[in-house]
Amino acid sequence: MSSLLGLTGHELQALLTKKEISSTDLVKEYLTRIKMVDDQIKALVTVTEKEALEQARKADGLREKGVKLSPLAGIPLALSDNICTAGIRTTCSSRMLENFVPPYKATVVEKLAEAKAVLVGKCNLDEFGLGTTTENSAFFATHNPHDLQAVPGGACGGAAAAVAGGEAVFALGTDTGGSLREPASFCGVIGFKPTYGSVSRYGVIPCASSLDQVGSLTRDMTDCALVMNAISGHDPQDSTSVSGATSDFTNFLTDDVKGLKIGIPQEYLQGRVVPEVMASFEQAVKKLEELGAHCAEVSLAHQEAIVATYQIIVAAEASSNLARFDGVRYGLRIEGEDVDSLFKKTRSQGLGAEAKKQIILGTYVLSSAQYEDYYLKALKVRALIKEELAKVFQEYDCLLTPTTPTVAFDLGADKEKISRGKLDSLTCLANLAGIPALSLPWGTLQGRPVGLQLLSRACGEETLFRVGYTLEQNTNQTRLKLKGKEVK
Amino acid sequence: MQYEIKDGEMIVKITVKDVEKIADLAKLELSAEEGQGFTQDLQIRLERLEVLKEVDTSGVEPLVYVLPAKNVLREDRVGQCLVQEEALANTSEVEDGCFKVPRIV
Amino acid sequence: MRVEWETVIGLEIHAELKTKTKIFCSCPNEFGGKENTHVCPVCLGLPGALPVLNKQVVEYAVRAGVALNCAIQSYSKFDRKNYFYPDLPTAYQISQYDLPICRNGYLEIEVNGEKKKIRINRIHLEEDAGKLLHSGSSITSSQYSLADYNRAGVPLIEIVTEPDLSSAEEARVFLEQLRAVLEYTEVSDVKMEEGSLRCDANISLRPVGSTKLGTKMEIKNMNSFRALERALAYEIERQQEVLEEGGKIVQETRAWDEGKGMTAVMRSKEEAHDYRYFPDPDLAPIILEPEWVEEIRASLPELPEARKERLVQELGLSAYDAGVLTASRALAEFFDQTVAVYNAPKVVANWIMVEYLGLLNANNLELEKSKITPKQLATLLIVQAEGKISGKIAKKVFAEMFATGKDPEKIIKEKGLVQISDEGALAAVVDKVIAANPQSVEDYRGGKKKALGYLVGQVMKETKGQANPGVVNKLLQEKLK
Repeated sequence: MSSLLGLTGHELQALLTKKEISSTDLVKEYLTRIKMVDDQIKALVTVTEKEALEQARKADGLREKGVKLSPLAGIPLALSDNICTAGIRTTCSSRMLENFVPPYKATVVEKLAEAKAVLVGKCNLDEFGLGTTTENSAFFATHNPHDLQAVPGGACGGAAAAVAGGEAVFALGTDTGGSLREPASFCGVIGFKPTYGSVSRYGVIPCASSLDQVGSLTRDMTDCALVMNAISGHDPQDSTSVSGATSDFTNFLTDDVKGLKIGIPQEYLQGRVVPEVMASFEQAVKKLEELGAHCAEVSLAHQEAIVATYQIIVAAEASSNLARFDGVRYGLRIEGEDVDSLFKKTRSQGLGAEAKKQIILGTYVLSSAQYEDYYLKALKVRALIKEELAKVFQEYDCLLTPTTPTVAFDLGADKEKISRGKLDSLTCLANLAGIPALSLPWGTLQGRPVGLQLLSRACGEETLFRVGYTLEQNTNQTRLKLKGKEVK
Repeated sequence: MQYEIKDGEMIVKITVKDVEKIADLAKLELSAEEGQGFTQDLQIRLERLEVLKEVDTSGVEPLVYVLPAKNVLREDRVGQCLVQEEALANTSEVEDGCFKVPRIV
Repeated sequence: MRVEWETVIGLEIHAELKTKTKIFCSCPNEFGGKENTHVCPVCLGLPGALPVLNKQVVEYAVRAGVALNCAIQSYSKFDRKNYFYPDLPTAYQISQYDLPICRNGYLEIEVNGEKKKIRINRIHLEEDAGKLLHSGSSITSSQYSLADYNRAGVPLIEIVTEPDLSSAEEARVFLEQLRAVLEYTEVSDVKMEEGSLRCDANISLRPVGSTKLGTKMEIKNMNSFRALERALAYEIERQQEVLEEGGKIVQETRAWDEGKGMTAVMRSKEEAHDYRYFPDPDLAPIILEPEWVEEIRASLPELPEARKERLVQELGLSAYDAGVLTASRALAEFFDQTVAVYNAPKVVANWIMVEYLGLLNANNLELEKSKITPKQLATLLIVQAEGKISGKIAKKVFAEMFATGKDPEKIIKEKGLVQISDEGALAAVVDKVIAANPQSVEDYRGGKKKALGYLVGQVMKETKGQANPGVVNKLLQEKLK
């Protein structure tokens, strides 16, 4: 039975359709696996065993009746714990929301429920999505299934580790500046951040609203397409949701990159990406050229300002988004003699150090005396960056970079030293411009996965799927073996 | 606000007092240790943002909306509300169907 | 030499819009209701919930803007105003900061026969906060408070005037006329007592002739037109005293205490907030195409100024009467509809202003809740004009109509109130009165014409007011020749 654990969603769906397995069997297998490995990986904050078995039973019942089911029906999934689930606690890995049970659910959760996918657990993350290693969780650090000494990346490290460690077939998380792609890269799974607005943010607890986008973590491109089919589309409850018809993402799974023009921001990568990762990356470039793509160097204007722009916007928006946690209506409440002290005590004890630091920075850059120099300036530079990328995409179909400057480093390592605070320097570009981005596994270095990142123009998802699928079909670098205890 | 010269540039020098003022706006109560630590942290973070000053943004319109969306509007039709128990379910401090808060001033 | 002071006042008015639902969610926009039942994840500020703008809110704001002669902005956006307060679920209020929906309007007011244009700087959209119920008698004496978020997210427009008002009276008149415009355009319920219309004032004094503004004081908590006028009058006097004693006005926010009849400090300038405004990334901008604005402009009803003008020009009413009758749309409609049936504008105006408004005030009732219809009033006035009832009886009938809503004819018939004009029927009563009042008869004959009035009154008394006073007069004069 353990052979089921390494399979993708569509492979499992084939078995379910043929009735070789039942969803209940599959979910039980996954729940057993969770019990076996999660004490080491620590990907999950909450295991939804009861609900999962109930949902699996329902999916099986429908299948028995001959109801036509979606490709995700009966498949176990995990959600990053910043996505609201009605009746199931949603913590954002914060003391503040440790016991928060939302009375409503996110639109994506509703859509997955309609697809009859089965939620097995809610995943650990950096508190409120603020971090790059998942060590900022108020509960515990998550370990990288490929190497338990290593971080899984973050903010959605738990979700990536769950998929890589065989605790869920796929997962949803959010990407603010690489929060899905960086852990996908570190954990050796596919991370996809769609165009801003193509997946509803309703019910997704925000980090930075203008950057956040819900995306997927999967084991292959076909699953990525199937998950996107299930969760994307206009939502009248999200004013930033793109209207118009949605595509069938499986149509984008084309094994052909001939004639595609791929840009490589060589200058930007230099001095940021470590040589070993650069070497792996160059092999990928070579492979794509062999497959018929044209790769060329591009230069990006304002590249030095990208990370600074991103940091200002994240801090500013997060400082405002996190203000509602004041102890009055929900979440942690630490009593005080008056309202002001209730607010201060609650927030000081409920929020972790990184969240506080971001709030301090965000409050500072938004204060009336600093607004023009920092926040407004960042919005202007953001305009320039977006414009610059639009120009690049007039000439190129996509951009290719490593996802992260390094592979996963050890838990507890000084990441400031490793990355000089620029761990998200390659990923945050996509969020600033609102464009789609894909992180694809590309082999390992001493057992720690390397990730390739592809960026395309807004709504240019098709190109990303095409490149990803072609590499998946023509190399053995993109699908890494399941990792964790008991899986050899 | 104080300034210092670093590499020939005027750099903001953040003091513990500045941070305490910001923390008060954000309703955070800082321990003495946090006050020190956060002051240093903010100083470092702000120094990293100095690169922005080098970008010429004269005449550039700030990018507020990532999407070219406009007039995202809803019809004026009444929908579903929460029932009172749901609204109050996530707090223990309830009285007469309301959220209870301590003395305001 | 004594310095003459000049008062400079600007107002900030909040009006709740009369939509069916809240500004950013589909919860009902209703006054009252069981606590925390008109709430949802959005207006309760649950994490993850997102706002979506109500279309009607935009249309109402434009309607108000057009009625107040504003330039409707083709591009406006929403900003977050960040501050902590237990009535504010998200710890930021969604408002409009630098790009409001309307700018540069004005409203013409008339005070003591003089017309004056009061400029409106801007109108912007924002959401209301929840309500706090205090355990004690006031916020300061309460050990704890209770938060009800039914009002959180109710749509508001904030109207900000330029500092063009120069007396407490002008401020009150402006607010009354503004209230009328908002009522006419049907964008708001404009009930100060329910809080759907609220007004804050900025006031400063400067020596006459100076062009520099004095130190600005913000006054809050004025919950009626009378409170506004009293608070400003108090503040003018207070500031003048301070200045004349050589003191200095310090910038602060003061609250009006209606009971004590004075203002008191709420907070000083040092405690002023830094609201850290920034564009709300959760909402798209509002782009108003000219066609949409024109469509809304075309749908506007006749506004108070135009209506008042019509009453003066076409119906010959005095400016004062026309002003009273057009102060509310409902009253103006009532007047117009009565005149449509009984075309005697001055008579109708008098009746409405004296009798009807008198009864409404005495009973503390709103026109909308009164039982009398324009047609009933017109009928009553026609019956009176035909001489079927006396003016005195008409008032009695009207009071009965007011109390019961019955038709005047029915009341007259039921109570047998038809006026007696028949000379034969009245002659006997007249004779009786003459016989019973020899002194008055003698006085009259001796040249005291006033005595006749007394005798007429006695006849009226005898007939329980039903006698036609004209006929009685005539009969008495004949008989006493």
